[in-house]
Amino acid sequence: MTSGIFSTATSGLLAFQSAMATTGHNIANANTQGYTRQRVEMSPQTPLLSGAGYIGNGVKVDTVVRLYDQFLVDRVRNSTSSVNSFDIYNQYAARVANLLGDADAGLNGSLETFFNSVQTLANDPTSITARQLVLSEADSLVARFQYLDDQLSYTRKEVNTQLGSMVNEVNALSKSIADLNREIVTATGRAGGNPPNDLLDARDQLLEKLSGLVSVSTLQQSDGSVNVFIGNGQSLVTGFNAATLSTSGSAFDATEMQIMYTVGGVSSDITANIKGGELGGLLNFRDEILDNAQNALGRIAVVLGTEFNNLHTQGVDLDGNLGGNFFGLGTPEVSASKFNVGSGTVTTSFDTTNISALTSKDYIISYDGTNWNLTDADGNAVTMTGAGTGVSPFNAHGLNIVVGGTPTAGDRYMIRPTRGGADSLSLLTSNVRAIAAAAPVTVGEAVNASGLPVNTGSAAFAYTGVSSGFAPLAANVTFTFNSGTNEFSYTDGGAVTGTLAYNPATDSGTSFTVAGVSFTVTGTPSDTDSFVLGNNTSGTGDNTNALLLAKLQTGLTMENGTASFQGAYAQIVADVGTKTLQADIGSKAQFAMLRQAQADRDALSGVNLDEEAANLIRFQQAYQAMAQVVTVADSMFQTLLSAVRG
Amino acid sequence: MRISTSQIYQRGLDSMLEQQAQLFKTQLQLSSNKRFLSPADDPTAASQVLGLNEAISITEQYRMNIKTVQSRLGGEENALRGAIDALQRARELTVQGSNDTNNAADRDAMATEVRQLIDHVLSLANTRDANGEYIFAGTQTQTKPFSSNGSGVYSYAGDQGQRLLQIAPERQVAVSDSGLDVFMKINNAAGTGYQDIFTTLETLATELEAGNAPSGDRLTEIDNAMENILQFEAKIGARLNTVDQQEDVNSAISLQYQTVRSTLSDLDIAQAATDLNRYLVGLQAAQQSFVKVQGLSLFSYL
Repeated sequence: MTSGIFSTATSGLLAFQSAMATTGHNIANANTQGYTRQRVEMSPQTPLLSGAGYIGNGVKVDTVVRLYDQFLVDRVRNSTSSVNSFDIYNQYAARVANLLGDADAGLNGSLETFFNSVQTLANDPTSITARQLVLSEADSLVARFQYLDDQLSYTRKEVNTQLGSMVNEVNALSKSIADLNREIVTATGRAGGNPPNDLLDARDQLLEKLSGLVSVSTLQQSDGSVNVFIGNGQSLVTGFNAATLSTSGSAFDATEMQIMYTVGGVSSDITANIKGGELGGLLNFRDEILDNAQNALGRIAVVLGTEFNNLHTQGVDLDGNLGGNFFGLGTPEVSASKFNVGSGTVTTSFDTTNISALTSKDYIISYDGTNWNLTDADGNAVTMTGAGTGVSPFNAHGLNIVVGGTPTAGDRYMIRPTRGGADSLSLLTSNVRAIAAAAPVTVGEAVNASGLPVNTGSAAFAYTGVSSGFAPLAANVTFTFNSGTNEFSYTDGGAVTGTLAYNPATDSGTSFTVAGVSFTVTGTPSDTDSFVLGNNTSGTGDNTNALLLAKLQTGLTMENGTASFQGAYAQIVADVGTKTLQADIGSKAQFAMLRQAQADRDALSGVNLDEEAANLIRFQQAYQAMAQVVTVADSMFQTLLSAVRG
Repeated sequence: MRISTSQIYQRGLDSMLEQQAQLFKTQLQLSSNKRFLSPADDPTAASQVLGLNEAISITEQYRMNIKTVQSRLGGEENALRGAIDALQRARELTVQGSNDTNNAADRDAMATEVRQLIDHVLSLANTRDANGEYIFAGTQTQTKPFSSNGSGVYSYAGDQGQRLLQIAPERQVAVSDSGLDVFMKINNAAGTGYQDIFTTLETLATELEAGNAPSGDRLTEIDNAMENILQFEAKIGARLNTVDQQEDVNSAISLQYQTVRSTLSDLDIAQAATDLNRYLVGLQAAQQSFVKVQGLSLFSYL
């Protein structure tokens, strides 16, 4: 009988010792990251059957459990992925927004001072000082474009490097998780089914770290291991084995890092499937903000340079020479896919007469066996006109594309029209006299040798412009009016001859174009009145071209004639700013949800020191009581002994 | 709901960090007097401010252009006024010379004065502005427009162009008139063509030197010349009025843009100062309550 009491007491002492040990363990780990509080599960021993019924036999410890809810833990993991994704996106996006939007270091200030210098030139076209100022400001503008582009390129390098190191981290974590899977299964087996709580906590920690890097989904296996999947169901950890991710250049660009998944020796590009976590956030940033910003900045450089050059080559400089290109520009980048089989060739150039159709997208041109098809980087088809030959190139969105060689069906090429636009912008001249501020031709009424006008009518010719590709006139063109036939007949003594119908009563103000020069005729000429059109060789005080160049600042030269340079730039700033703001809001919202999820998890699994202190007291008292039982059982036995001794 | 010890700490910490971040941001706003420190704070306003900056810069440039206009036209006006005065004197001499009470010596003296007037008008017609450009040469501003061959034949080597300056987005104003229009293209006495002002005065001088009364045509020609130049003086006056009006418009526009920009980007100081105080108090409250709550533990009573 007493042995029953003794064994009951012993069982109680042992059980309460375990309980206090567990409580001590909880207190010791109150500040451990990811620790789930443990609790001893006790149940009564199998009772003894006696004549009087079942006699209780004490308490036994069944197991030590973690107070754990998989659902709550999953919620924390998902929130962590979202928060990290928004955070890193926000961090990088804010850098780009501040770089571009800065009132002093952004592009707008440079554009303003450059065009102001062109206006100053228009006020005083023969002034060498004014001309020097234009060259200096042009230099500054080019330098500013390059500075902004350099910063963006540097950020791009950073992103690519970070992708590499994050992928390494993911690989290290998945390997550790796989190893832990093995340890957990072994430990569970050794313990006969009792959970190895601290190993389970460690694995949960690793999973939470992993989900900070990339969104994962998990599947609990019956043997206690956990399988981990990323992306579109690619398996990262299966039982005791971990797959590896790697980074590698894309099909078109060896420097643009993509995430590769290798299984069975076959690598596939899973970049598009990576979501959430820092990896997802970084990839989103590169796609949505960095690529766009660099392309859009380049587009402004290309259109500005092209439009300025177009006008500059239609004016004459201080020495009477037709202006050359003022800005140097690059050409659109083309790269062949490394998977191409055939030997086709693709070359591109800017369509300088239609440059306002240029977009800030990248394109892919592919050969399907018979035809070449153009799509933009989002996959939308783009219609091209032309045949793709040098004489009739494919034309779309401000680009000319010439194809050749022998491509194979399935070959693809990437075209990046404006990625390098800001970097390749340069100033071609350092000669102040070579700035073409004057109109290339003069037109006026005929005068005699002393410069006295000889016409008697009231007509006037006014120059309005020249056609693109204008070349200097071979000789002066003289227009003579015949009032009998109401027409001007003109000749330059060579190939340029013809007639212009002009009825003074009805046609005053009409515009004509001869030898590439456009002009208007007003008023009433008398019979035999004549007018002369000639090259402007010494009219250096003319500022017509400078006025046109200055007007480029506000002209709607971009986005198919709907935006100015400054408007297009403000659009980039607003776009990046808005995305940054959204990421900031998203980040704050997700952070609040993360905190809530953590609170919910901790409500179940977190250690409360006051609670543990109370438990400590409880088990201590129970232990003391149990020890009393031992004392009483002992004195009962002593009484029995002394009773028997007689 | 059950709260774990780490949650108690985390929540206290979070609210302190939150208050600190708000405080810091408000402090930055106050010290820079800007409502938004980055385009991400208010993307729409940021891009609007960029547009306003450009508009203000352009308008200020127009105002500078207008100053150039005023200076150039002022110079031209002076030259024309001088020419008119000279022609007025020539007219007087013509009338005086027609009087039969003159003898050859008198007329000779008048001829000398006329020749001086020719030189004077010639130098006015060859006026150069502050940058050394000939203002009556059309667009050939680096070449002297008017010259004489020494034997009374005057020629014009400039062209017929005008220089225009931009004073508003869609407005240009002429800052020059060609020598052809001002001094050459003057109706002759018969009305059959043109005669320049120098030939007129030269003929007058020659006639006087010969001891004869000047022909009646001279008066007509001189009157035509004065009328032509007066016409250009009137045009200059009109242009100067135009730019004056445009300057008023430009300065009003510039002021308005600056006001709008200020509304968008400047900080409301009163609001920010109140916010600063609020976050200070909030931070202090968070800190004090953190200390108090952290101090509570059952272990202190065991």
